[in-house]
Amino acid sequence: MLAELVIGGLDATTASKSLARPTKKDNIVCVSSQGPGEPQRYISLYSSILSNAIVVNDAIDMKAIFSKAVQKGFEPMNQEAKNFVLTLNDFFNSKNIVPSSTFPISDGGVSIEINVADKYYNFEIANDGEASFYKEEGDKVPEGWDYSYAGLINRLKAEFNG
Amino acid sequence: MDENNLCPVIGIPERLWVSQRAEDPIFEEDEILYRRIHTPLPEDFTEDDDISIELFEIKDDSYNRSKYCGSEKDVLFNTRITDEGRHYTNWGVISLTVKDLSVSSQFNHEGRDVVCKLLPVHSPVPCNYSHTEAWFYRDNVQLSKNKPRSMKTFFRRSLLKKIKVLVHYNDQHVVMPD
Repeated sequence: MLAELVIGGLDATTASKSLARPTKKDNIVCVSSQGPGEPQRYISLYSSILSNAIVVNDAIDMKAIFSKAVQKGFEPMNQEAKNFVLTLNDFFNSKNIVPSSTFPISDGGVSIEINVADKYYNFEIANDGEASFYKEEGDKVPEGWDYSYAGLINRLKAEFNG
Repeated sequence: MDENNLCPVIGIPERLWVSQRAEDPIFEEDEILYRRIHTPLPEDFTEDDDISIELFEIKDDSYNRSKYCGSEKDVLFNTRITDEGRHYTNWGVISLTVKDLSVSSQFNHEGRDVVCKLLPVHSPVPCNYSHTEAWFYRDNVQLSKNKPRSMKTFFRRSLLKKIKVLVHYNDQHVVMPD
């Protein structure tokens, strides 16, 4: 379900007509939301109205991952893993990359799947400091790398910054 | 506690008891392996859908072999005595053939091409004679602990393309087989 966006009591369309355009002082924030089977939708907000907006879907929904981990009896994510997942979340948000799924892993951590054109990616961030990178592309042999957290973020920058 | 006392207490039907039967190491290619799943799927799911690897955890990689089961739902019995008969009544069940499980595939691990495969190994446990493990091999060498995570993802992706969903995970408890 696409969450209804309400800005200061106005719907997004009305707000865009009623409120002043953003200035150089405003930070532009891109908000995304996607329900099952729905196309990805993006809405841009700027900081002067952001405080009144009910939003927001991050690339990685930590609350949903936490509740699923509890439901399945999985190890909770430790603080170090959480911090790194938040770093990944910022990275994906900055690239407008929306995972097709995120879910907890049994020994504590998160698994993230991304589909981009004919590429499939999976990244796993584990409590023990491991972070894996897996990629399928067309008919090529699938590839996988097992990194530290720092190694994974460097690889992602190389993969998605190009 | 021996099996004759333990298994009835936790509600395991007699057909699954080991009853001093020896392991059966021979698997036919078309033999079916059942596995329980803990993840819901969309109601309109079909096997052609691109589904998340969340469905297929690679952890304690256990299956029940059809040759020694009365029903695919036998895999929902919980044989751990400490769990006191709390069976996996609302979990789903998927199946794979031995042939599908055992196929060799090429994988590039950290820049090097390797051949990965899984092999079923019959390993009965108390109250579940049909219990089978899938062993991991890389270039014909068995991997036991510390399997690389990226390689586990590779196996999950490969197997997902071959599974059949027999029973969906749901929020309701289902009736266990007699």
